[in-house]
Amino acid sequence: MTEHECLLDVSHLEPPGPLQKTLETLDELQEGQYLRLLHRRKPELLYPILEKRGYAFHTFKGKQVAFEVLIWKKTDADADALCQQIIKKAWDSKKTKAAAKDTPKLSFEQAPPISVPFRFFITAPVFGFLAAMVLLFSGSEAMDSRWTPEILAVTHFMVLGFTTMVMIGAMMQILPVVIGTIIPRSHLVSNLIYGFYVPGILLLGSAFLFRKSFLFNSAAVFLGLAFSVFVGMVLYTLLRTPVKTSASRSVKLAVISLAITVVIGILMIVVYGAHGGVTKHLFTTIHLGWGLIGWTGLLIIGVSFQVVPMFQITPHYPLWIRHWLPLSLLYLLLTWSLVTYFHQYLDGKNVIYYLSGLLLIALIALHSIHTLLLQRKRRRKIPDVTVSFWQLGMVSVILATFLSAINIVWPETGRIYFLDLVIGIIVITGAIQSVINGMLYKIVPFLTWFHLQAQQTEPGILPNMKEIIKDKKMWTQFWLHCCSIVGLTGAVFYPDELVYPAAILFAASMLFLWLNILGAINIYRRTSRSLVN
Amino acid sequence: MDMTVAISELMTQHHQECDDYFASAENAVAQGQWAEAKEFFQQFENALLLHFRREEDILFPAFESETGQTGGPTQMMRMEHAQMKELIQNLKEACEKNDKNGYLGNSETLLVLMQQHNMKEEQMLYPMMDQALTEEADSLSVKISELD
Repeated sequence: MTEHECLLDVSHLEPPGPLQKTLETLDELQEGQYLRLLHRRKPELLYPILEKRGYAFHTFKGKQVAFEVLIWKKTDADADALCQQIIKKAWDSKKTKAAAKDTPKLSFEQAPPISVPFRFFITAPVFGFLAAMVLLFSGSEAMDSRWTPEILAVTHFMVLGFTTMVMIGAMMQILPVVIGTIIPRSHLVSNLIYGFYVPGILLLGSAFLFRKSFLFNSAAVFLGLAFSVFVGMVLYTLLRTPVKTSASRSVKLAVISLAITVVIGILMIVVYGAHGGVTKHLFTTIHLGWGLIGWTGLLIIGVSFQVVPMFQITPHYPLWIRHWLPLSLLYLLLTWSLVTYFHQYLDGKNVIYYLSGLLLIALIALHSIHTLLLQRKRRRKIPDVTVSFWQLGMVSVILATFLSAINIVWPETGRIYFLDLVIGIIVITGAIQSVINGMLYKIVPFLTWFHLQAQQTEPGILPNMKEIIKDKKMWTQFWLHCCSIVGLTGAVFYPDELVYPAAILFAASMLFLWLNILGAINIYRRTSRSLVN
Repeated sequence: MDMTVAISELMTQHHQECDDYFASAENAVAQGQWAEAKEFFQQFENALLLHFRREEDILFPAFESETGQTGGPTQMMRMEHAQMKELIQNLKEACEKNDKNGYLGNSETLLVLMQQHNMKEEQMLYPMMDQALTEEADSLSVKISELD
């Protein structure tokens, strides 16, 4: 209450007391003053009298009593200004409250059934194994260039069958945690995606190997359907969420990049289908850029902003990296794609081509270096296989960006040393696969524990994460994975000597990963059964 | 309003305090320094339980009465608090028995559960609270700080 406000509480009076008392008080009101009337009901009888006598008024829902009415003389400019201010303030606060109530309700019941993500996780190493088998049976000839049918099949078994497979499964699981909305009918959606996706990848791999039109065409149909459902689902949930964080922004950009990758990919498949074989095409490079940097890179970067500080207990990434990096990467990728496509019509390669390409890899390197620096400052010092996988991944990224810079500036040198192929191996197995492999060792044991714990009716001892997948088993697979990266890279230079051992090491690493995940699933089944009984 | 710390900021700081004690305790266990480990674990347990009370006794009821969302996110958060308390119990037992593997297995599980929980609070629930509880923010901050 101020000197301008005259407060009158009539809520305890019996009629006609309130009306009388109000009119009396109004007569005593001075210039620049207004009356705040506290009332049990809306004073409907009072309003016409006020009108007649030249008063303005405004009714609010009251705090202590049911209604509050502001009353002031229409001709009193000061009182009028004061009251308008009060009304506006009340209106604004009502609006923010309404906004808080209208925001779609967050649902934190995040967990889709365990089979939704796990079907993707357990399938991924199978495709990795398949890639190793293709390499094993095609031998040293496969390593001639990145254009051999075998390398194309291997690459797609890896990026579609392994990395994107895990990423889809993980998205079904973490999307609700990151953005707070439920994926509608997650079981049906994941059945659809999985049902189209797995045969799609098999068809595409065999299309590259056997060069048959009908294989290319049916791969296009299956993969097109799988990705339409997936991208549609992610965009639908993103549109419905009130949450706007750097993570959800990166997810959005990554999924847009995925859509671009898929559209270009399917266009190429259709062309191959008509020719019955693969031709080198500029679009391949652009397709590759969007798939590796746009989809996979942006998603891993977005995830790193959350996962590195929270799960490894490090400081946060600086705000400017979180805000500007993902979007800058997307714009640079767009610029780079346009010049890569159009420079065929220009004389030689222009400045923008070099600039966008080099800036792109510089930003990626910046993120990796920053991640390594943060991890050095981590408060949780105990050995952690996931952290080691991340470090391996980040070192691989830095190496790959360095080699890519050479490849852009001195393409001749690049050709002599098969840099295309070397970079491909380091990026796909060294960088991307390492990070994803490491994440699986947190996600799989946690989800196993989490779903078991949800079935528990009374407190009891559940297997903890390190009992679900043993440390020793994870480390063994980590070292196998390291050896297979070195082997595969070496096989580019010494194909005759190294391609078989590298393929076998790689197959062993994938087999081990598969067994580790399978072990978790078996523990889940066994414990779940004993909880029911 | 500008003078006070937003609820989200205050509570996020608490999360980081808890993380610090958590990491210190775990590092000590890994090195087999049980006396130190037990001390850090006790600090961690106290900090975490205090944080839960700040939410369950003060913030959540205020948020629920303001928005009318009683069965929603806050209920889910309470459930996760209960899950974390169970793991804390396991850690305590491991501490008493000087059981290194038992401790590290349970602490790994707690870390993931705790961090995905914190992520949801910091990115979704606290910002919503800042928005819904603008008028009460000051008095709530005081109440939170007084609780111990």
